[in-house]
Amino acid sequence: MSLWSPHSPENILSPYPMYERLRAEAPIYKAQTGEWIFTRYDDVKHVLTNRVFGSGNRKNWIERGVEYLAQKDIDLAFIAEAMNNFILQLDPPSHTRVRRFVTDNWDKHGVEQLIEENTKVLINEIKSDEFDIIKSFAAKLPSMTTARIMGLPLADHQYLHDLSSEMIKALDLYVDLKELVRLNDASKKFITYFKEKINNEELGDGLIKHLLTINKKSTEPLNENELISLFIFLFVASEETSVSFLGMTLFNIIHHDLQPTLTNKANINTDIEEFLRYDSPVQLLGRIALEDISIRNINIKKGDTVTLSIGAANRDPEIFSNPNEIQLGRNSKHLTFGKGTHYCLGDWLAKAVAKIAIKEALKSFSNLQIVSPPADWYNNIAIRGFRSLKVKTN
Amino acid sequence: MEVENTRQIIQVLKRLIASEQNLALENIQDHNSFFDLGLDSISAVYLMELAENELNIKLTPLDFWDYPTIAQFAEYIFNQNFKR
Repeated sequence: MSLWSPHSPENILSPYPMYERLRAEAPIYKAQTGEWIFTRYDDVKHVLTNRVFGSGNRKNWIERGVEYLAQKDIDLAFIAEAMNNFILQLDPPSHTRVRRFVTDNWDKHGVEQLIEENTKVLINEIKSDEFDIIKSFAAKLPSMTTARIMGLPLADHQYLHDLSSEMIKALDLYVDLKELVRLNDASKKFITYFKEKINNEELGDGLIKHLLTINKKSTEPLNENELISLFIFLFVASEETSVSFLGMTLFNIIHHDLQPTLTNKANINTDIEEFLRYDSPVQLLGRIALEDISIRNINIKKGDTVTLSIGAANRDPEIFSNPNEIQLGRNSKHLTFGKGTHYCLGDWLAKAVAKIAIKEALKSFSNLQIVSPPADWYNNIAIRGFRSLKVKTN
Repeated sequence: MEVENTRQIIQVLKRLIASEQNLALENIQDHNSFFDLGLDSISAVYLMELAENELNIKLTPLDFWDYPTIAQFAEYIFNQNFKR
């Protein structure tokens, strides 16, 4: 039986024993699917920063899939349209251009205050001592925050959250046809939504309005499809990973009895880094070899798919002593946000959301305890997270 | 459909693959791998859907790779869904 089993229920609960075995027995492992699975920190980092490996593996697969399934009278064209400008899936030079367009023009001013306001609104809505901390808090805060950053109506945040939960499948390594059909539906709704917002000028002040203004003045502007795809990407990327990270971290804090320590700390920035290492919300990243290359005497051919296990790299004992322990204050040079040209452009936002949400939650809900274990996990290990966690406070 | 044994599943898979890949039924053997029969990660998605509907079962995208021949896949499906 293959060592690679990203759908098995026990690996969804904890993929780390599987990673440990892969890292020890075959750190570059040829999976049954033909792709190469990388589990060592140094190797993962090497691939992330090596231009021999390109990024468009999922976009490419989806485009070929859409074409193939069109012959079977299954129309999934909206997926390809929605994904055409996903920064994560672009290679230079288009990657450089689109990425710069966002990073150069994203005003971070006032974002922390906005997160604080949203956090307080959600906490005040929780009236019972027993509640679902994901459904009523962690799952709402990121979409509320992103909606406001983008200048979208706050009332739309739940709708956009639900679409994002489907849309994230575009980046999953393995999907079935039913998921593709749902993904196409979500793509269509997302495209329609942003089209309306742009063309009816229903945008408040915020990132989208600002980017549209800058784009109009550009000598090399993005067209409407490219802009919409970019907005979808920014929403989805900031949403699903942030929900997962926030939920998982709240669970880790309660489960490992860290609330007393963290509640009294003035600054939890380093602690957030350790939680990012311990349970990375993004567990897998895909790359495609653009040339033949040999790593550790293993020959990887041009066109081969490479799957980087971020979760495994972050627990590599060569780099982190006692990697399976949470050590607050540890110097966590984790790979959770990637490395190199594709380094996550929203890292600061993810950290700000986590820092504020966790501080406020721990302060507002004393002595948090878990009522029932996390439930409704993501259906494979690509994203580490769940959609329900019942807790109580006193 | 009523499934009594692995053989019936093998027949269903062979029929679906023959039609999808434009192959003659008699040229498809139990021990053939999907890869040998020209399927890849994309055509597999469609074949999985057809097999799910025909047999009224649920598969995950990796099953196809974990049980890469017709015989292995059929046995897996039988054990998961129809074994009494």
